[in-house]
Amino acid sequence: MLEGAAGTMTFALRALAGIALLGAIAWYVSDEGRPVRATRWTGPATLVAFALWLAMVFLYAPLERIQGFVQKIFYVHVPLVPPAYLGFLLTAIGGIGYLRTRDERWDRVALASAEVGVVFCSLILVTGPIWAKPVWGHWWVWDLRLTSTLILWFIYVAYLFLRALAQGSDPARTFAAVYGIVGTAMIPFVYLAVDIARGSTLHPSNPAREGLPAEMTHTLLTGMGAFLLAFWYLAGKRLQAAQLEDRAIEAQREGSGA
Amino acid sequence: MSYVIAAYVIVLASLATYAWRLGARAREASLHSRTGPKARDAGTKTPSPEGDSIPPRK
Repeated sequence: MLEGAAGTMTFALRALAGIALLGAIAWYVSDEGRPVRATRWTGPATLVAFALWLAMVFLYAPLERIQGFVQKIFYVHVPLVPPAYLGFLLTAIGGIGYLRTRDERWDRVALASAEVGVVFCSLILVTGPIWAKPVWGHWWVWDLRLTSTLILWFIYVAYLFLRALAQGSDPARTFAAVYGIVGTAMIPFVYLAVDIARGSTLHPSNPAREGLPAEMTHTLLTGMGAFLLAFWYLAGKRLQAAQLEDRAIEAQREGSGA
Repeated sequence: MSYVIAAYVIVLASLATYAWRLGARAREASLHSRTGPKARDAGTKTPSPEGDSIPPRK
């Protein structure tokens, strides 16, 4: 009884922390100048974090007993996941912001985040098979986690195609906003896929539940920090490019007397 | 060993290339945004791209 109540409390606290974090992120990107200005320090910070992470991967983290050296791919594969999910969540936040305000700045946040999210998701889909081949003997298996990740990638690649084909119109932006919001429904499914398919998947369970040794946990968390910094740097740069491209379109319109 | 090196090189090279491409894209857009008549007529530089947000189009 007490255990159940404690579990519910923990879940409620985590949910509240998640909502607070999402609120903070939404506030942060509500002025697109913030992530753009932050690239002045996120860029150098990313380089320092990457250097520290690489040193930890190859000098600090112990060799895994069963897989040996090839298990080092774990430290590059898993940390790519949070920035990919963050990119897709920000696409939804940008979409909600656009639907509420019809302000182009939210639309730029959604587009930039989706593109950077797709970059990270693509790298997940590349590093996964590189790890799978020596460990499982196959580049790819059609299990629930791998397939759902591929579907998630397709959803956001389609989003980017849609944006590229229907540039600038309000109906296209509205449709993209709704699509971006609906697309995030896939994220919990991808995350929980290994639990849903328990026993019928080769994919390891989520690292949070594995009870890793301290050195491995530190290295993994450093990698996640480094890739999240890289995400904010790339998202800031992508937003800056989007701002300037919109400004160039304005300049062209004014130049042609429109 | 080669699988590990491949994974790390692909990830780091991809992110570096993407960052470089974004920089090039921003520079090109910045160049085009300066060719607008307002910037030309006023003979002034357009505002710095670093961090300023442009107002929404109505």
